[in-house]
Amino acid sequence: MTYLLTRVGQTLLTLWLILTLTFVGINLAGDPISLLVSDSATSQERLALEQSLGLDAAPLERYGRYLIGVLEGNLGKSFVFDRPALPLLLERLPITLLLVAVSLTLSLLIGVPLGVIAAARHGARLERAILTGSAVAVSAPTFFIGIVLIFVFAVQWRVLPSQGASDWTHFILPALTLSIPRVALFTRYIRAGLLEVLPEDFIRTARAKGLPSGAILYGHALRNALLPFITILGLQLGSLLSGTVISETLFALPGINRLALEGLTRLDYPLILAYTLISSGTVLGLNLLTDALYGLVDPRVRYA
Amino acid sequence: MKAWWGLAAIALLAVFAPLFTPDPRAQDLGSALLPPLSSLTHLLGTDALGRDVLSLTLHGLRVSLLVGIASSLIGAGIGIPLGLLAGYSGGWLERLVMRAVDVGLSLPGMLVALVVLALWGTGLDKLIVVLGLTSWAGFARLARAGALSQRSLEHVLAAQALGAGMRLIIVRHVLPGIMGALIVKFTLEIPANMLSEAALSFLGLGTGVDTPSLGSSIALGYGRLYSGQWWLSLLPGAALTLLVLSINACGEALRVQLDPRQRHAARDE
Repeated sequence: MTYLLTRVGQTLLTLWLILTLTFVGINLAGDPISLLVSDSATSQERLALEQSLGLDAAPLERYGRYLIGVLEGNLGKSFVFDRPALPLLLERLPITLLLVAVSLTLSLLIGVPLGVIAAARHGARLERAILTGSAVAVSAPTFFIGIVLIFVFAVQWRVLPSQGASDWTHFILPALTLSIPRVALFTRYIRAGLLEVLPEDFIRTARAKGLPSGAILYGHALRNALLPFITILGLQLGSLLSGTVISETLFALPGINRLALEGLTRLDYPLILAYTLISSGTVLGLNLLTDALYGLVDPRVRYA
Repeated sequence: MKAWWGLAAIALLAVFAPLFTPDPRAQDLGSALLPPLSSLTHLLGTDALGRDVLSLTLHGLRVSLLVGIASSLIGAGIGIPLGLLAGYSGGWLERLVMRAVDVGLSLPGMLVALVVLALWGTGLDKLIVVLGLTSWAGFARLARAGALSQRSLEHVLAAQALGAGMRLIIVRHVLPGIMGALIVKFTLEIPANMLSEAALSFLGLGTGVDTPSLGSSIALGYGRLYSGQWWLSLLPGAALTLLVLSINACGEALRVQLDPRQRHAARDE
């Protein structure tokens, strides 16, 4: 319990650190006013805009206002879209989360069995084929995987749509794009974990008492190999979230990252801050969850 | 061994590309959008501005190599000393460094780089620095774990007993014992940073317009995928995949070589 509380405290501290760094970075970065007004604007017009956006206050005062805003869930209006930044991003979140959830499910459903098969056929040609495939998939850039999929399924065969999000078929290629590298990773980790467990005595015992090999692999061995895998999974969620940036751009999915990218290139401070808060908050929260899950799965790590 | 030959071939082609390929920025609108193998002077075809795809690809590989190696050097240069110091000396320094490592590891590096580059502006130098700064934590964690395991070994204790200073002990007695793991980590960090560079350039927040990066070439070529000019995006993408694959394979080979436990396992197979 103490451990978890410390971790929660750490997470909040990290979040505060990130928000402060982003604020400092934004204030060092440049002047959004010049991006928002036309070149012919008078200095009065510039000043008026500065005041209406609250940019005329001293940096420390703005920092204080900003932190209070974070606690109240109010991060100011997006300069570009003239709407409160946080709800603007949050209403795009479901599409991104759906993409992450489908990709992760796909990766697990394909990756874990492939890893078990590779370990069960240790030394066979099938194992080498699986490992070669996964080495290639891990090495290819995510956006390149997406482009190859688009080329095959949307340009050559014309069986799947590649742009937009009007129905569920639009999610197939983006989710596959994000899944393929992770299928490869999961396969490798599960295989390596199993190969470490399989020579142990309790596996020999299970075999000796006549259990079918499927039950040994999935029931006894996999359970023990899953433990280090949970950490990997937690870290992968973070990289999956980064991957959605690519996937949303490539497939024109109206998720949170596409909007954020637009805000980023136009120095839309409230939008950038809200995006930082949402994305880093999600990643940190997921890491925390992973640690808590660790204790649930393995009684040995239950925290004193 | 095959991986090393593959890597050497790709790296040599990339490094010496300026000697045998035309300027990748040279435009020739008269011979735009030539498909691969249709002309002897443009073996891999040309893009919409008539630029040579082979040259763009090889020069892009140079940028990938440069960014991958330089940013990993920065990450290792910050992370390894901090990790060694933390692991060897312990105490408040260790706690401080490890908290920072936790923060560093829990941040999604790509998203951080995205925000920083958007605010700071793009460019090869900035990209290298940002990628280096997002990769120090992994090195620090590995070095600290290594230093911890070496600290109580007899040869280190003997050096302490003889009155050797901390710097000497860390450099001469602790570091050699964990060098293998660090080299493997370094080798695998290079392709990871290459992929980040390509992704950022693909999103338009990478090397900037003046430097022909594979990511930006692929982004440009992607726009012409639907009209049938597949070579503009698929060829540079395949080249980058090949480079990353060969470095990854070398890293794995190194890991097996340098880890005695795995060396036995490899022999058993």
